Amino acid sequence: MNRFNKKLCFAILTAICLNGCIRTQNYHADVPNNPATKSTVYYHFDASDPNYSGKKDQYFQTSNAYEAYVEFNASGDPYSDEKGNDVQLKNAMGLIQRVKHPVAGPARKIALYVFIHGWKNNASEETGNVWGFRRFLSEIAAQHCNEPVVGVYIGWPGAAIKGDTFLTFWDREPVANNVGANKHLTDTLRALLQAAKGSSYNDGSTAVVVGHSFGGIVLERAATTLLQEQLANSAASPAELFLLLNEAGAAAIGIDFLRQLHREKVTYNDNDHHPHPLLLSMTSTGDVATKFAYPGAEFLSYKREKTTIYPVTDEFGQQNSLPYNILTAANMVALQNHQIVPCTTPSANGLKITLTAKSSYCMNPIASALNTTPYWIMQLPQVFVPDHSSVFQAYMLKLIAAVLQDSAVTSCTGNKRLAAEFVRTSPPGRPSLKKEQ
Amino acid sequence: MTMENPLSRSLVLFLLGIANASGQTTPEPDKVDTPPKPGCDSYSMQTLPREAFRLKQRACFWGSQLFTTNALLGAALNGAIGEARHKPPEWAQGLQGFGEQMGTRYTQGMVKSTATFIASAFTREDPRPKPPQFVQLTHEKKGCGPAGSIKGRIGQALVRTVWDACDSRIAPGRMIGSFAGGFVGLAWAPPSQNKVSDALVNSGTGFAGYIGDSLFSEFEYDIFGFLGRMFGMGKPHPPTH
Repeated sequence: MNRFNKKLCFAILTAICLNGCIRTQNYHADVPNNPATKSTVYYHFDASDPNYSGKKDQYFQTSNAYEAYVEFNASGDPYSDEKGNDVQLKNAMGLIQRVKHPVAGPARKIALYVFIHGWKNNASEETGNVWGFRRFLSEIAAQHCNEPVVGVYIGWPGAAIKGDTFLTFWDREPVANNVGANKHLTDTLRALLQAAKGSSYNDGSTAVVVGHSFGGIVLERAATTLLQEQLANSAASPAELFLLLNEAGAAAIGIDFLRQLHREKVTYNDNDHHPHPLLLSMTSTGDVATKFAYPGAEFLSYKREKTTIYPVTDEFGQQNSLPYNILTAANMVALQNHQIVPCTTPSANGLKITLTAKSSYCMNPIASALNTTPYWIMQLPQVFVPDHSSVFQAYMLKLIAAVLQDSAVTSCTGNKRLAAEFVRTSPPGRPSLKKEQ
Repeated sequence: MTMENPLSRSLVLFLLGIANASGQTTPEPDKVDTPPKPGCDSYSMQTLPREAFRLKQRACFWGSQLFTTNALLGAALNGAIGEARHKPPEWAQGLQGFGEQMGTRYTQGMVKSTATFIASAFTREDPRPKPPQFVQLTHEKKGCGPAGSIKGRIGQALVRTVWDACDSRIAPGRMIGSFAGGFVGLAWAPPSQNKVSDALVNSGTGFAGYIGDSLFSEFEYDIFGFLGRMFGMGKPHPPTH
């Protein structure tokens, strides 16, 4: 190969590499005269819009929802303007306040949905989680006909290479840990939840926080901090539900909190003593990333916590800390307390999820489960989520809707399509967080 | 300066506009927008219905087939097989021969994908190996929706390479693409390989690739799920106290 060809090859390879890299940036920085960078928007979703829907396949549900973006950099610090103002959080809080307290009319309850995206995603329109969350918002907003829905998308640099299949799994994990462990994320989440639900989280509005993949790590760290604050005072939960989908973080992240829930016999029951999930961790049976790649890499990692041998088996039947350090919670059989199976009738305290007239599943408690806390942990059949990345599929939206309806978070009683899907005919009231005195 | 002067009034309004714009720290959220049109993100590419899977998404899907590791590895593997069989004999053995073999296979693959993209854009068929309607139970039409049995799923995966069961019409895109990829090789194939029968064999091989792709797409999640269920990890031990 002559010198010119070598230079040409080098230039082509460099161009390919540079084109394939994703620069860390603030995607919704509210740049003037650039609507694509707005950090708050109000969308009308139309089920019949041909840009999204087919003749028979509806993509969005007809509904309205607010969308806000709050982004963090790789160190877990929020993006700020030249004056050091956290513009996105300020805008999101302003939006929540304006929706809650409209100029024309009395104050109203709102439904807040916060989503922390996962691996291979960020806050740009080019990543799948932005669109998945948008579709989720349209679906859930259609079920909240009495309450305006605000969705907040928490962005962080979860993508590094375009078209990546597996290369950046170990590169992005430390970034997720940075964001999750940084107090800014917890403070942001607290501020958003308090803006929506009041300073004591009890003014009647509802909130649900969802984390996917590495976003699950981020969320679990922040959620356990917020929940521990509330548990210490036996006060209301900061959110009606914390949902972890295909969480790509070790069970060790939440095990102390799980032990606390277990030790203090914390319940999250409604007035009819019907249990509900406070934290719900679900991982697809087809999620190879967290089932094989994650434990394999953690086992080989030089940064892995030293294994502690327990003098006696712990409350979840473990003889040492290794499983907690290398397995994700939902992939640890000992921590699972529910299962989702095809069924026609749910077992006691089970929840029916109707997919079609001929197909339904039930989320049933496992009778022999060692984990009896409101931290529900289970495997998810592939009909809901087929693999690691494809969350917010249509059936998954139905599953989440069923859980939220059962917990009386959604409030559209006139929605016949949904009403037919649930076993209980009357919502039993919202659950409350209690611990045994 | 009086406000009667239109120039002065314009100036005041302009200055007020600037002041208002700079003072407005929070954008007005209550103006209802329609969501942006879907692009080529992974979620839209996977879940948009066929009718909404437009030229932009089709072009992205086509692009994703051209410059991928799979395309390169496939061409390298086929090139290595051709090299091992020393077919065509006119091509030298060694690195140069392998380069010719691999280049041929890669070019044929590109032509196949390009012709499929163009043909399916005209016929408006879904180029994805497993379109969303075969995942969700949204259609009552026979053959359009997930099949129950393994035999049914194999049959459905084979049929949808040439037939759109949801709209009951032929889907010739992949077939046209395969023929294009098979026949384009005649342009540079050496005499021992430049007969129509050779081109037909190459077309058949190209179409077999589509069949394999469709079958793999049908069962890939089951394979992952089976692997996932095989290893139940972190089981509890009986108490030791």
